[in-house]
Amino acid sequence: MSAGFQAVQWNRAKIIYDAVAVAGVIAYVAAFLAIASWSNPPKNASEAINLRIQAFGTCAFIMLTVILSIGPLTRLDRRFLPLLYNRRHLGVMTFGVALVHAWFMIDWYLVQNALPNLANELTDWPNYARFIGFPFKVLGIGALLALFLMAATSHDYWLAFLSPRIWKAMHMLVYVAYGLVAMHVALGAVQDKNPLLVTIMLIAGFGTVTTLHIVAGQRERVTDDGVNEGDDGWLPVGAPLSIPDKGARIVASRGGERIAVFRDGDRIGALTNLCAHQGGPIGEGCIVDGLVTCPWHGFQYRLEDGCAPPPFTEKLATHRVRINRGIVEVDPRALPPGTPAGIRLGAATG
Amino acid sequence: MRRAHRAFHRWIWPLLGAAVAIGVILALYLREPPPV
Repeated sequence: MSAGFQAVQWNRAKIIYDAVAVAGVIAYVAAFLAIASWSNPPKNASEAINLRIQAFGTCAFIMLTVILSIGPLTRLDRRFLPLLYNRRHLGVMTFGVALVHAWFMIDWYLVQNALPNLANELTDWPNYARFIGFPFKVLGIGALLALFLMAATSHDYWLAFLSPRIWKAMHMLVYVAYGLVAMHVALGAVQDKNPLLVTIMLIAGFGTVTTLHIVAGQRERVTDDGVNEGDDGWLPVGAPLSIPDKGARIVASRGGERIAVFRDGDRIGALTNLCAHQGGPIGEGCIVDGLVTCPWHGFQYRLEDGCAPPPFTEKLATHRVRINRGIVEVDPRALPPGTPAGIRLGAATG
Repeated sequence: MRRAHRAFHRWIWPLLGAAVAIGVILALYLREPPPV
């Protein structure tokens, strides 16, 4: 982490993740083409290409639905965290599948020597003022461009170059892409003669993503409501042993940022809950080899001062902690990143 | 994610989601019936 440019650092988990994803894409496309060809055999080349357009298009939509579901699912159940680990590879793969879908769309016109029709369709300006009849392919092109931008900057090199904040804001384009794809399908495939299956897929996919986000957002709100401060502004966390060993409890003041209070045996320390890498919730991680470890990508920090171990240079803001009448309390006012603030039980009792 | 960030996400995405949902429903409702 944070050591200059490195190509994809393959490991067993990533290889398995990608292999499963690729196998899934191949299986889906093969099954789609086999079933569609069997139920309604294509009569000519353009109909055969149309089936491929539908196969890769629906595959891309399903992949995007899965990608967008991973985030809220990990908030609701930590068992989904392994899916978050390599989500970027899934995103790049989705761009690839969408690109193939777009290529077959162009191929459909080429096979019929009708490529100028595509240009005419995209430049029929009066249609842009219509709802039904809107050039839906433009929406698909917009989504593809967004996916390309994200795929092209998916490497950690761009994260460092652009800064995590800008990189993350740019990668929120995935939501814009999903909205464009939904409208692309609604104004395109759904307007066809037999849209039942694609309509069901669209409603089910969009509905799933929306529901998961709403439920996860409501659950996050509970923590954001915060806890009541003491008379001197310190926040009660709980009895020392109520903090899981090698784990943390997350607290927040009303209107304040979240603080992760960790316990490692008889040591207690409080760090900002935001990982320096991509703002991951380090309080949901654990202590590994004496280091606080972010559950998203494994960035590590020393509990006593929030510094990443050498040669890494990341630092987290720390918070003062104390034991007051047997209860761990944390000062919500952050200390400068890297300030030692950890305590040992039995040594800091108020 | 910072608190302000979460608050922003809490209203922007439901808004956009509602807009897309309305668009999808309208597209289904206004869909021209197939020729007889």
